[in-house]
Amino acid sequence: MKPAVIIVGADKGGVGKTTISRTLLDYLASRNLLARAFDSESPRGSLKRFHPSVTEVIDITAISDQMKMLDTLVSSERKINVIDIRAGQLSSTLRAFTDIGFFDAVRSGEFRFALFHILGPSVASLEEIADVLPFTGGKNYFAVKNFINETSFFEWDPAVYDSYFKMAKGAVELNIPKLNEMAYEQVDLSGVPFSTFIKNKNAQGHNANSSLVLRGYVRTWLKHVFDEYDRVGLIDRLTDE
Amino acid sequence: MPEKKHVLIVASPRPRVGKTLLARVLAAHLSLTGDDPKLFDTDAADRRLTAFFPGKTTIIDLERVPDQMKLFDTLAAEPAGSQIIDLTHRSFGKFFRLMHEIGYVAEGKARGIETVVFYIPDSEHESYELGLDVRTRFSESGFVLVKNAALGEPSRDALNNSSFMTLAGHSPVVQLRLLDPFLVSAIEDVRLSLSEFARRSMLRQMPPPLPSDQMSLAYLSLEARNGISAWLHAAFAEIRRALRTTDLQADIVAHDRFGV
Repeated sequence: MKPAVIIVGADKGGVGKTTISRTLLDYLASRNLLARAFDSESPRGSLKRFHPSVTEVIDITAISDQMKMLDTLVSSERKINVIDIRAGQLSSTLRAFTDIGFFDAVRSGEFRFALFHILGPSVASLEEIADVLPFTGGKNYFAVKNFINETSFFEWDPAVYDSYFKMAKGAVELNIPKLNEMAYEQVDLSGVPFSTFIKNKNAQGHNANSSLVLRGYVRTWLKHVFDEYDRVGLIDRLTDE
Repeated sequence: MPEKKHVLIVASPRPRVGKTLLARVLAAHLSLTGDDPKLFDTDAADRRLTAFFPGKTTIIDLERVPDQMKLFDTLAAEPAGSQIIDLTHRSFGKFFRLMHEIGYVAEGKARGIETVVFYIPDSEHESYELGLDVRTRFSESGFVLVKNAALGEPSRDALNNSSFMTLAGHSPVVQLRLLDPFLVSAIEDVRLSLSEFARRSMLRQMPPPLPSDQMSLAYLSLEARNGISAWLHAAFAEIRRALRTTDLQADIVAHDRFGV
C-alpha cells in the first residue's frame, strides 16, 4: 500500500479541526488501517491528548519536523498519516509542501493525498476555498461542513456557495452532524477516542462507567460520520492502486 | 431459573387510554410477587403516577438530557427489582427514538433485564401504525398488545388498515375488561393502593379502619370491593400470562442466537 497523507485544516480557528481528525483516526482504526497522526499545535497538542499512542506533536513550520513527517512516509508501517494543521497555517503549510515537491510526488503517484478543509459557518470560510484549491487541483478535496457544535445554520448564501464550489472540480462535500453538547463535553473530559468512549473504557482500558445515554448519543453520531466517509468512498480514495 | 428482572414500558401515542392505571396494576402485580418495582413518571407536568406513589416515583422530563441519563442509566444499572415506566403520550416519539439510539434493549439484556412494551392503541388506525413500528424497531424486546375495553371498538379506518391486521394476530395480548363508571372513579381515587387492595381481597381481609371521608371509594361497599377485585385479578392473570409469554419468546430468541 502506498503512503497516504490526509491534511486536516482551516485558516480560521475554532471550526473543529481536531474533532474531525479524531473521527478520522477512529474511522481508519475501525477499517483496520494503521494510521499515525501529527498534531501541529506545538508545544501542547489537543489531538495528542485523545490519541497519545499514535500522535506526535510537531511544529509544522520547522524544516526538521517536516522532514520527520515526510521522510518517514515510506518507512513507517503506519501508512496513513493524518496531519492536524493548527489554525491559520493551512495555506502556508500547503505552500511549504509545494516547495518541497510533495504535490509533484502525489501527481506522479508516489503518495495518496486528501485535504479535509474544515469550513466554518461564516462567509470567510468560503473565501478560503479559493486560496486552498489550487494546491490540490481539486482532487480529493473535501469541503467539510462541521455542524458538530452548531445549532444555527450556515449563513452562506446558496448562490455564493455554489459559485465557490464550482471552482472546485471534483470537490466533495462532507457534512458532520451535530452531537449533543453534554455528550461532546463528556468525551472531552474523558480525553479518550470517541470509539473508546462508546465502549465504556477509560484511557487505561478499564471500565469507565460513562452514561449509557451519552454513549448512545456518541455511538449514533459516530455512525453517521462513518456513513459520510463511506458515502464518499474515502477508503478507496486512499488505498486504490 | 431465577425470576427475570423486567423493565416494563407502558406506552401509547394517545392520551387517556389507561396508561397510568395499567402502570399501577403492573406495580401491584409485581409487588404481590415479592418484587419491589421502581417507578418512573415521564409526565413532569401532570405527574399522575406520582400522585399514587408519592415518594416512590422518579419524575422524568425527557426533554432534558440529565433526566434522560437519570432514566436510562438507572434502567441499565444492576437492578434490585423490576422497573415500570409510565410513558406520557407527549414523549412517545422522543422516548423510543432515544431508546433506539442508545441501544438500550441490548444493554439491558446484557445485564439480565428483559424490556417489555405494553402498548395501548386507541380505536384509530394511526395508533396501530405506530404500535407496529415500535414492535418492528424493537424486535429484541417483548411487545404486549393491550386491549382496553373502555376504549371501544377499532374504527372502520383501523379495521381496514394493514398495520391493524398485522397486530390483530399479535401475541401476547392483555385484555382489560370494561368497568362500571362508578368503579372507574373508585379505582382512580388517589387514596387507593391497588397492591394493598389486592392483598386484602386475596386474604379476605376487611377494609382498613379509617373514617369514611378518608377511605377510598373502593372499600365503601361490598359491591365495589367485589367488582374491583374481580377486575383486578382478571388483569393480574392476563399480565402473568403475557409476561410468561414474552419471557419464553426472549429465551427462544437467545437460544436461536447462541445455538445452544
